[in-house]
Amino acid sequence: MPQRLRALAPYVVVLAIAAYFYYVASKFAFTPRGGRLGPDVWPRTILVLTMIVCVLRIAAGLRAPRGDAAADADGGLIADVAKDAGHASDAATEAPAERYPARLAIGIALTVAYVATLGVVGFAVGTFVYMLAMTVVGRYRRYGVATIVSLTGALVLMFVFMKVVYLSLPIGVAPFESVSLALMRLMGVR
Amino acid sequence: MLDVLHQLGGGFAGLLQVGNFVALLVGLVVGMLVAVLPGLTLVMGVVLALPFTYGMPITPSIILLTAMYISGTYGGAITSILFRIPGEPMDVPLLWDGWSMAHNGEPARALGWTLLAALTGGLITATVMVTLAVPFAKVALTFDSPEYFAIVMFGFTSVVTLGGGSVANAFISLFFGMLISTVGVDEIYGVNRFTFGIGMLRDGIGYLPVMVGAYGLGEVLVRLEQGFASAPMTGTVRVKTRIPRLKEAWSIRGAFARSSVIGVVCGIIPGAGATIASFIAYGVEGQYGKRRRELGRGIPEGIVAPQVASTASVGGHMVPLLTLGIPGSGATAVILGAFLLHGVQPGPQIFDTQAALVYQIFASMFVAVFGMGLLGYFAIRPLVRVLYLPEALVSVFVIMFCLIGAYSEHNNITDLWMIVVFGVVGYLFERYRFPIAPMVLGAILGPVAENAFLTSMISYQNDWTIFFTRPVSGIVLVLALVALLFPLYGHWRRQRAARLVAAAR
Repeated sequence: MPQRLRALAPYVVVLAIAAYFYYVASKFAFTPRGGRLGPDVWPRTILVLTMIVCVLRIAAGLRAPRGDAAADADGGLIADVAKDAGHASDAATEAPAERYPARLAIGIALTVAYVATLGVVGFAVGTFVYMLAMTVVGRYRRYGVATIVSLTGALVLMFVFMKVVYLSLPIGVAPFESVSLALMRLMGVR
Repeated sequence: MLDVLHQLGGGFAGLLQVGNFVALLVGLVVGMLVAVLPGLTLVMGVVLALPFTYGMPITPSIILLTAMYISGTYGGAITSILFRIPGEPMDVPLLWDGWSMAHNGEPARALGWTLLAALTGGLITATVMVTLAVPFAKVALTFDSPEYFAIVMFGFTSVVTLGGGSVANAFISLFFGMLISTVGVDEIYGVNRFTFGIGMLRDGIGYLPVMVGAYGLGEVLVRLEQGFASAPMTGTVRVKTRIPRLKEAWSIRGAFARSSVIGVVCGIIPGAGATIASFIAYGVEGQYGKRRRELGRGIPEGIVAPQVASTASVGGHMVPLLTLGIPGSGATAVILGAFLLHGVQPGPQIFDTQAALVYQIFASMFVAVFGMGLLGYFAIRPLVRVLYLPEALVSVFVIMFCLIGAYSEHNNITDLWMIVVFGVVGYLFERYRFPIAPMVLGAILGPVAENAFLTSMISYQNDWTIFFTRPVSGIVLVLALVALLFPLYGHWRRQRAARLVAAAR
């Protein structure tokens, strides 16, 4: 995909989503009350403004000379101060040298799996496994330390939130439930 | 004024209660730690502390969060100066003169100037807050819905135009946040808005899951994709602070005064925060300071200006929060959340209904400033040790606090899904350079704006000109317009300069 189109793709996507949401907002079913504005007015205004910004941004991008990435007005205040001070790169968000998209995907999948299974495996077991897995995915190689920190962390969090903050954390279903209940007895949590 | 001082005295007395004092100490230590810790920001820290306040009375809860907020504006400066690692975005200008001074062999002096600047900024902001809050509340009592609408619009335009980066992206982020706040059952008509038949969306999406997800989980996901690669630890390990002499400080009183004003004003404007204040103060010093030509080479003015301004912005933020119920920054939004969770609505009436609470918060800010100074002076060595903690381990605890924080509000696992969704949204925003702050401010102030807009329309028979014909709202909206046109003018000026350069070649 040409660079220019790739740069404009997010705005095209946002424009399409905003148009769809505008359509949804226009279908809100309500009975108007004596001259009052309906519940659709505010969201529709927001969506129209979103679409205007997208169209302007796309038009500016298409009009800009090839290779000109700065087709958009920027707030510039922070960048200007940094530039005047001769340290423009300090204020810029520079792209990192290396990216690990697979680790990101695994991290998101683990988080989704943790939330999805928390009610089944309970807080203690689920949190220990999740913390350990995430630490390893985060390129921490001292597995012994990671295991101890994850185990201690899960238990300390359980103790603090159940015993001190009086939060009712998920205990899971059998057989994990018995593990949670045993730990709660040990911690003196009722 | 005597009444204010009397009440403030009562506030100091209330602070002596064990619970309040412990909350203050914990807040100071944790605030500094989160500002120093890699991968954690001040706002994230305040967000993550929120669930701990659920089981606490309201006064220590607010004191804890406020103390974190104030000490967090100082903690990151230490790592900027010693290791060239800005703990917070607001600490970036400290790299230029703070790091340079340290690099020139005077780290203790650089740390001393920072500490003095934070102390000065903190004391000035606390004094201004106590002085301004009551008159501000009295004026706010005369405000009607058009004024509230105008103030929120001003906040929106400030966050879009002052934040830097693409204005289009900032607008899209803001509108997305505002749209999020419309999800759920409409209060007047009872209509489901954007719920798509999903039960959990009927109650709407609160701003806390948006904040926790985007700032907390989203940031961890960004760092995870980068493999938690930390910046190299370059710099001195000699950790000592030398406070400048009074004569030295007096010689740059102009920098102190200018930056204090900038910090307080930036704090009062919703949307402009400590980072903006810090950069503006440095920029102003570069334009008007006596030694502007030496700026960037390690002079005290370059350290004092950003540090005074960022700490001074805290009190400025607290004024609209307490008197109007409008939070102008991520951290004050969390503090508002703590107020609401304890059943207290900040606003002009708070000085009548919760005077003791308000003055204990004021008193805590004065004590917090001194506590921050003592902590910064004596505990600096263990503070910088936390920099050596592996980020993967820290991040996994950040995620856990995010998730437990979301869960604890309603004891409901479905709330965790919101965190995951907004975590991914936060990651995508960071990845494609859409700023998160406008989205969060849109989600926080969106309902205030909609409510003020609709109430104005009902009260003034759908006459939209009312926003411009009422003096206060008219002036504020004109200011919003100026704030909006400011970057467009800057862009036009830069393009014109580029064209002239191209034509000259």
